[in-house]
Amino acid sequence: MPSGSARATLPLILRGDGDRQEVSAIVLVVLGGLFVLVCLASLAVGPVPIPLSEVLLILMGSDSSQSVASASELVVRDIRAPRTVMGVLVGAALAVSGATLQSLFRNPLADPGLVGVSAGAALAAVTVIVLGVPAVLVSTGITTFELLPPAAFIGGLLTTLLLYAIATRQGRTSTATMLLAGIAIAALAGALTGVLVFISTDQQLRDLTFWSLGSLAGATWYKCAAIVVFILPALLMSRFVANGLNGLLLGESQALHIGIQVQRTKILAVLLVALAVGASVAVSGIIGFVGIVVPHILRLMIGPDNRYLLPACMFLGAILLLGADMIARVIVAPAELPIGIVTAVLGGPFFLWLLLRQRGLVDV
Amino acid sequence: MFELKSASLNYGENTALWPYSRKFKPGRITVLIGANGAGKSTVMSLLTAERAPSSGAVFFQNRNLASWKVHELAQKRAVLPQRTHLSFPFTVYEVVGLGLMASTCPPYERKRLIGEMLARVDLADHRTRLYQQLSGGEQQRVQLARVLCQLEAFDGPVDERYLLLDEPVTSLDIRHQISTMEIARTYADQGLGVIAVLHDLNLAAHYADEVIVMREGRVLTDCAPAYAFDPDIIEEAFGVRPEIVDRGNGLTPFISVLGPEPTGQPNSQTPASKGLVH
Repeated sequence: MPSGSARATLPLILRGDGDRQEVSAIVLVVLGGLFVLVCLASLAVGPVPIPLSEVLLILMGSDSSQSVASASELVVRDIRAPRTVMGVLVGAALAVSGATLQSLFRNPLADPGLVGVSAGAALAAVTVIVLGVPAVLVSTGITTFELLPPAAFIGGLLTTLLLYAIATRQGRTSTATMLLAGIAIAALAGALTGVLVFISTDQQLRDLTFWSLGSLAGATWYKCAAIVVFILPALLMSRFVANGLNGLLLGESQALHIGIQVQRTKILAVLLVALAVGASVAVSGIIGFVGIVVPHILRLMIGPDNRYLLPACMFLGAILLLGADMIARVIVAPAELPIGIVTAVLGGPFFLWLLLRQRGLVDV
Repeated sequence: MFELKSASLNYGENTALWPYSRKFKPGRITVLIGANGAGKSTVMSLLTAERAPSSGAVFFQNRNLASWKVHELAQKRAVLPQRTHLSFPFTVYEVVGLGLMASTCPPYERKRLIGEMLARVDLADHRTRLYQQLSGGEQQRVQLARVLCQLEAFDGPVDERYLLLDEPVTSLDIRHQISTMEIARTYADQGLGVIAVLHDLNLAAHYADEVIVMREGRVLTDCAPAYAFDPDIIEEAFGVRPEIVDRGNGLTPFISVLGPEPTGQPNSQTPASKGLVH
């Protein structure tokens, strides 16, 4: 290995004996603390700043003294709190699915936004918005909105399966094939989405604009409830695939030799990614780069052990997305920037830097 | 013990292994040799359960290999592959620890085992290094330590355990080729079964208890090394005629293969062309 590329993977923190479990535990605790602070900040920051003390009072529930809720209370309870919860869910989901995809493909460049999984989920969601609820389901009384998360889930699932089938031959995943196939799938899904946008009505068009850029605006408790049933199981599943994913990093046959149920791990991982990405895309559109930036930063600190990496991704993913959302809210206030633009502006250069440092290390 | 019962393997229309029956006994080093594509790795992949036989069956401890659960199998046999590429920055310590995935041993025991196995492959002071920073040979030794960890963590009878080595020494320097084979020898002497694919005929001659010579998916000879390393057999298997030098005193014979002797008029025009393999 040339020394240049070896230096590229130097970890930030490394203890004397090569075991990073304790460091990982410390990083998890620090991230947990930071997470709480960022959540509080996300409730306080916005076009109308609300002091942290007032935020805390509102959270404690000081409503009994007044019959009419104050403006601040309304803003926190009905606008910022659901938005924060949604940001947490989406950020955690995107970061965990990024890390999972990377382990599954044994490649640090896999990202749901990059390899077309998000585009597939978005296509399914846009189809539902434009064409409405399919005739078979009309009798069930399901609304267009309720159908969005499951549709996006199926779109994401099919894309992930397709990608895996194309890029993996005899247990070996080709990086080049994966990235190129992902780009092709994303382009195709984008084109089909474009066709749907073209035939959509003005009202639908308004609903659709945010898909292309990604946004947490319009978060409601209802939307949070709709995605939590998808994202929570996905996050819990990560606990059960972590060991298997670690084994898969050695390669499929080696994973089998050390006692990993390879097939089961792969199925669960694909399901996890589809659930998490599908639900995220359904409410917030395509938000790129979270899935690649977060796992990469964490690997530099605690290494690639998924037992620690995945939970750490949940915290840092939520922290980063809430941070980006705060920037999106205040930078052009009272208007707001789509969050996808913020993550792309921050994540794009990071990704390029990553590519340059990885040159020679990733065998394309 | 491992047993092939008329096991064969086809890839589409190609037969990689013709029906083959054999028992692999514990306490011995069984070495497979043969040219590329002779079927050595095919036999290996059947034994590791990576592939299922197209016909016949593979048995392990008198149970069909297909009926074993992967984690049960991981506690009884360990496999060292030819080469393992890692795309993520694991430390040497962490890679070796992956061998303990199927074991239930407590943390302090893990630490001890990992340290001990790293010392056994001469990499005790490399534990904090990143796997990707190591040379190919060092990476292979880390993988060996991982595999040894897997074997050591199991506390059942030693003769139920097997070590499968697929070209374990190809990327190693000569000293570590020998130390790797010595490790295998020590385990076999303790009663563990070792099955290895080797390309180096001298290593095979020196360390094997039984040698299986393969050619085009069939077994050419299956015997003790003293009989297998016969000029005719080696020539038939590899297509080159070796010179086998008897060193006497019961020492392993030295096998030298330098390619076909120049025939007809020796070409003495350029010194570089002299004695080179065509």
